[in-house]
Amino acid sequence: MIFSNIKFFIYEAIIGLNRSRLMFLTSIATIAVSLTVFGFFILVSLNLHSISNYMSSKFEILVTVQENLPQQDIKRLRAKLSRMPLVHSATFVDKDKAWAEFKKKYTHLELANLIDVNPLPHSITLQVVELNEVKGLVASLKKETPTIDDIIYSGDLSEKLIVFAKYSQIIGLCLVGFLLLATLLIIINTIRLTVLARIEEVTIMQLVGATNGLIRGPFLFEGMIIGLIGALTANLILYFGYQYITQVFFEFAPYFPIVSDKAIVFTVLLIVGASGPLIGLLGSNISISRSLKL
Amino acid sequence: MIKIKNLEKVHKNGFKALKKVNLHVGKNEFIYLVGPSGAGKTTLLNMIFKFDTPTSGEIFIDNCPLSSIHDRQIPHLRRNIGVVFQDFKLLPKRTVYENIAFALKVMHYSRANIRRKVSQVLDLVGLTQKESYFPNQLSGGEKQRICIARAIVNDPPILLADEPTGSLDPDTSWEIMHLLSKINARNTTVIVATHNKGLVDDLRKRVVTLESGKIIRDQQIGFYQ
Repeated sequence: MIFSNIKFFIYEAIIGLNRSRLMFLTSIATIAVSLTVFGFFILVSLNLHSISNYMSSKFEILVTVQENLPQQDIKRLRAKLSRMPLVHSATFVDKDKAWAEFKKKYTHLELANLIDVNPLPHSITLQVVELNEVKGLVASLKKETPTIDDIIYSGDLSEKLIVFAKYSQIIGLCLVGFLLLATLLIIINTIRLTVLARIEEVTIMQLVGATNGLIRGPFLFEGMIIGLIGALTANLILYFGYQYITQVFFEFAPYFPIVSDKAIVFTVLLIVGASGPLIGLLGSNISISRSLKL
Repeated sequence: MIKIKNLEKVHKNGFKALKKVNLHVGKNEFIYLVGPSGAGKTTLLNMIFKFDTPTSGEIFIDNCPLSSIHDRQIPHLRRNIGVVFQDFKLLPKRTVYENIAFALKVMHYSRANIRRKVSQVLDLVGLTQKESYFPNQLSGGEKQRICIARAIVNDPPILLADEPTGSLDPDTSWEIMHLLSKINARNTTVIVATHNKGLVDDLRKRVVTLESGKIIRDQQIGFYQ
């Protein structure tokens, strides 16, 4: 009986959708747009999180040492730096090793063909105890250690980016919530219109002895179908759109920590894909309960 | 079969549609419910298939009080009562076959059974050739036959017809009444609300007259007076 009910629901839902094709297509388009923006914000939020993580983990002060400084002096300098109260750790980075890693990381730039000699100096990377103390630490390094050639750090920009990422995530979450609500309202309205357009049919169903479940079923399926097709459309836009964006970033800003992990992207697509039919089901359920008092 | 006791209906605006109505309808009986417009005929029929609820009083069907039927059981009650309307209430975008099959679908009949039952009932109402037609391709009489076919396709023991000839010409009205008599002869209790004097007087059945919500006459072989 359950199987025959489902068959009945799907058949009736398709008939219903086919009858109000224009409304059906308009709803799908609206839901597809909402879910695309919804998915887009999830991806933006994930990327901001990734930037924030990247910034935190990479928040280092790179201290390059003067050229031709003997190994003994470099060791002494590293020991001195690691003893400083604001420094969490100090790691020596050999210039040949650094150059090899650099070339390996950015293979597509084909640096080996362009530059013959290693342009990098020996360096010591410092991880700091507290981000807010970076400026003071840099000032004292400049004063106290003449063997340092240069101090490289992202300073204010990193701090601002971290704050920006934090607030963007909050705003992103609010927007996602708002969009989901908007999508729900669209479905409620669409199903309400189809219910009102078929009120006579519903009355006839009641008169011939259809149960409330049987009357509700086709409308619930209609909501789910609208939500599902809207979500699939949104997923296609998101998948190809995001693929294009990551491609552009890889080409023009390879250092940017854009989220490109396929598993993460597919999880987002799965969330969007599942949201469509779920919102469709919920929206049509609310709509039928209000319109038909079933 | 149907017992009505002290049935009253007062609408929200205070209008009394039915006043202390008492009626007993036996099994396989054919009854004409007559009276002027606004007498309460439709209200009474609506209450029998629980499309409306009484203000007080009770209706029993096979000794079961309708007030004890839970909302969820109403569809099952309606599957035992076929209803025919003056305005046919056919689904305009479905064929004759689909309109009749629809009633069986909601009762979970198998496809083979639906095919068999729809063919039988179309044969009974004499519209076998028109099963693929849409309602707008049919005459008023044909539409009413389809409406009757849909109402009886699952062999309900009771058939209620509310002004079934209200929008039909005299000849077609006769055909419809003969069809209803034929259905009554197949052991179906039939109640027909009408103000078609000619038909009531010619067919000589039991006639219950309603006026201003009250039964003022109940004759076994009656006339429209």
